[in-house]
Amino acid sequence: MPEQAGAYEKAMAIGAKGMDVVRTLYVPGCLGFERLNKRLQDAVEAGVIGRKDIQAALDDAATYWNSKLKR
Amino acid sequence: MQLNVPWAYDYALHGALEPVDETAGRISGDVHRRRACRSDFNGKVYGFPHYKQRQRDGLQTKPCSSARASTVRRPPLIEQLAAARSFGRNRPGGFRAGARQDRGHFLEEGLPLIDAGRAQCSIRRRTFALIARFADAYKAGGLLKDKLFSEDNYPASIDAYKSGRLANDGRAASALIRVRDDAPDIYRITEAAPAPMGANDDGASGSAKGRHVAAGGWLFHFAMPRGTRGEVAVEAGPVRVVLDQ
Repeated sequence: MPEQAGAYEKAMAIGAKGMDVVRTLYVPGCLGFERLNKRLQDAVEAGVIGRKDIQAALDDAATYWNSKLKR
Repeated sequence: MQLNVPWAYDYALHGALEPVDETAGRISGDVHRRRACRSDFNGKVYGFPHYKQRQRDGLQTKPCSSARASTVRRPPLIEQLAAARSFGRNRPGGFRAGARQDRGHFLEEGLPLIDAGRAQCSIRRRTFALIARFADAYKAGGLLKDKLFSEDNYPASIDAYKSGRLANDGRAASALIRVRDDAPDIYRITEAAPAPMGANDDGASGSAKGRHVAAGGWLFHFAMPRGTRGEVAVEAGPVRVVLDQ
């Protein structure tokens, strides 16, 4: 890496290393994964801002996920 | 064309994509033996997932006066939340952690959402504790609240970073181009740092048990829209696909 390299060049070099260790979550075989994800995000939001008890919010999301995963 | 993998799955089910295995002229690379490199829906191969870029490891650490980093590294999430809570309480606006997608946080902390053996969603006790830490940081004013829970908070967080309101923003490396071009003063004090390796994921996302992974990555999918004709050559990561039709 050249001494004059800026943050962008360094970030590109970092990004080129270790691609094999990054992961993202996706559930194949389940139509409408975006809806599952949205329900999870809504639950996290409710818990973080205090609109709902954290456990209750996440349990509701898990119940929704399981109703879709069973199909 | 390239699609986000969840979109590709939905499009394939709705008949908007051509199965690649019926039209591919030459496919080089070890794709047929490596099932993980294929997108099989309804028994047909619709494309080859690949990481377009490693997102969130092009970390921008801006050593501002209230949160000077002694080394260029992104701290683990738990440390970030503790710092966000502390700085939010003591020096509002001095240090803020932008929110990212929740499932990325869970992956990073080794908290799988899906019990692969039972195909069920299970929320662990540690997951509740992690969200409680987010809630604490939020109440303390340590989280950037602009579009905090939107699916795509990139425009808001990059603007906050460029204006100096956000000290730390994990993004793809290409995001730094905007900082370089739009806010050269901020870019000069920006450093890149790799995403920290998270906990192991218990094999929940396909990696070997005990292997530590970093959350992120933009999983793309090479796909062909229905009705595609002509010769197409695409390189998708380690796979080269030539379609002769």
